[in-house]
Amino acid sequence: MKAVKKAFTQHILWHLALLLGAIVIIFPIIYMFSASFMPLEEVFSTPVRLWPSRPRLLNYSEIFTKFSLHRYFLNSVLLTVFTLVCNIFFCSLVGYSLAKFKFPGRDILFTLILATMMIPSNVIVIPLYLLIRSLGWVNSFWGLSFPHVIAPFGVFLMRQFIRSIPDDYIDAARIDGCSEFKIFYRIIMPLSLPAIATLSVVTFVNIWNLFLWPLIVISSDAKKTLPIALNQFLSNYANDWNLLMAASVVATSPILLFFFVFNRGFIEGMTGLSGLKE
Amino acid sequence: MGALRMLKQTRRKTAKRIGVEKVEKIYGFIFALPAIVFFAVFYFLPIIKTLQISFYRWDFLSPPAFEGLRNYVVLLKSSEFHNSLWKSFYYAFGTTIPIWFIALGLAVLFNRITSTSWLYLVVYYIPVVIPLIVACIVWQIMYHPSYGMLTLITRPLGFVDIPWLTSSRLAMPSIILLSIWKGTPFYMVIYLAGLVSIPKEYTEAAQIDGANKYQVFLAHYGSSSKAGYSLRDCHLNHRCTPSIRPVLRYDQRWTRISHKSCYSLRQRNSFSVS
Repeated sequence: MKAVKKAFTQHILWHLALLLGAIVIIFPIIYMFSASFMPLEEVFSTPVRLWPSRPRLLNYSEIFTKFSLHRYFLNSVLLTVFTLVCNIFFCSLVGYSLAKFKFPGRDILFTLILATMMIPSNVIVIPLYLLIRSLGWVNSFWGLSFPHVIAPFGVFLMRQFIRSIPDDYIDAARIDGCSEFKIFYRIIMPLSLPAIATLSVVTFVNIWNLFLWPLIVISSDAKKTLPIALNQFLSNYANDWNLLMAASVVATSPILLFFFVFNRGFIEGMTGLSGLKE
Repeated sequence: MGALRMLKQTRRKTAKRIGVEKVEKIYGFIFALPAIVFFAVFYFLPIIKTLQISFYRWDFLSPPAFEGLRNYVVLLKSSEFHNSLWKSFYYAFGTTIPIWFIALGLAVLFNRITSTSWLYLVVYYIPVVIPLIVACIVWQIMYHPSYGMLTLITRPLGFVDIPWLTSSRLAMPSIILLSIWKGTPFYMVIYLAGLVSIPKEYTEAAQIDGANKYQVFLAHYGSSSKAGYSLRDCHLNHRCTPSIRPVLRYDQRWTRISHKSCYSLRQRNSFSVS
């Protein structure tokens, strides 16, 4: 009886510790939400207010009308969707070829692709910009999206997963006279849906949060993505904290929404755990 | 056995009949072609170019002139470079080492509670998924000396108007704190995956052999020489370690890679970190 009681108190203590940690960790996010509903004078009050006295939506309408945030939002959505579709298609295609076909130079190619994962993207940003400039893609959607169309991590992930699909499926389809490309999109793609889900999550987060590359490539206001627009917003409206917070909420909400819906896949996908498991 | 051999034989025959080897060579190459072109143009070309430009004097307007190692000499001699190198080390170690300990501690805590831990995990993981720029904006506001959220903690303690981001001594620790906040949950999940995969029997066996909790933990952590509980159990120890060791290595690699993120915040705030 005593042991049970001790275990119970210990259990409660663990929970309390975790709860405290959760509050500390979530606190800045909660503040972001609550400040986005405050009028400016409540943000600048001493002592600091945690909740708005009367929540108002005026901040949100203001960032959309005065700052036309919807345009940047749309740019971000467009970039993310395009890169996502390209990544799903090309990463599985290349992963399939690396996993199931024997052709000369295959292993070297795979090693080289893995090697690119070790290079920090900041190192190649300047030559990449020069390349984009010589292609005439500066300040264009192509210049922004093209360097992200295939991710080395995605190729690695898809290759590892497709390797675990039995060869017999492919052989059977070949004997039945299925064309090679049809095998890919009718058999391989549907079978590798779990890996595609992981890939989508990783790509979505990476591209939505992309900062340095759009900052360099995009110069005209109409083509800016959300993170860059926020950056500019911060320097133009540095004192309108409530508007800043509302804009931050808009930039965060799609990711948070997806995160709450697909949380398990999100965490496993982002940490690469589902990729390592095979 | 015979059936399996027969199956393999028929497979080889059909493979020959429909020319699979040739098909594999051609289509494998065709399918890999987008990647070959892409990685050659967008990764290897810039890498080679980076190396090449480093040996030239070039202002992007006049044609580049070859200079040999001069750029490197200038770089190594400049005090600015030494300063930024030192700051990078400061930032990297200041972030990585606390993250190891906090993430591992939290992972152990999570491993204790089996029931509702997923809910906690979702809450803990939020800082990782939000955009870095948003994190920077929110924290910049939290760090405001007189109206920031942190004054709620510092004011009762008697500190007023702390220049978190503008003082040369406090700026770096403030950035480090933000990085720890944003980075820890990621590594926590990785540690947790390692801890969960350790079979309970190992822990129990070690406890029966008289190892205390601390020793069991050390053994799990992977340093087999330091893990205390008697050499006799070395085989057990050896069997425990593989489960978390690769995870640790994976973690360290990721920590190093992800610290390129510090760039954007430094650029974000115009304060000098000198």
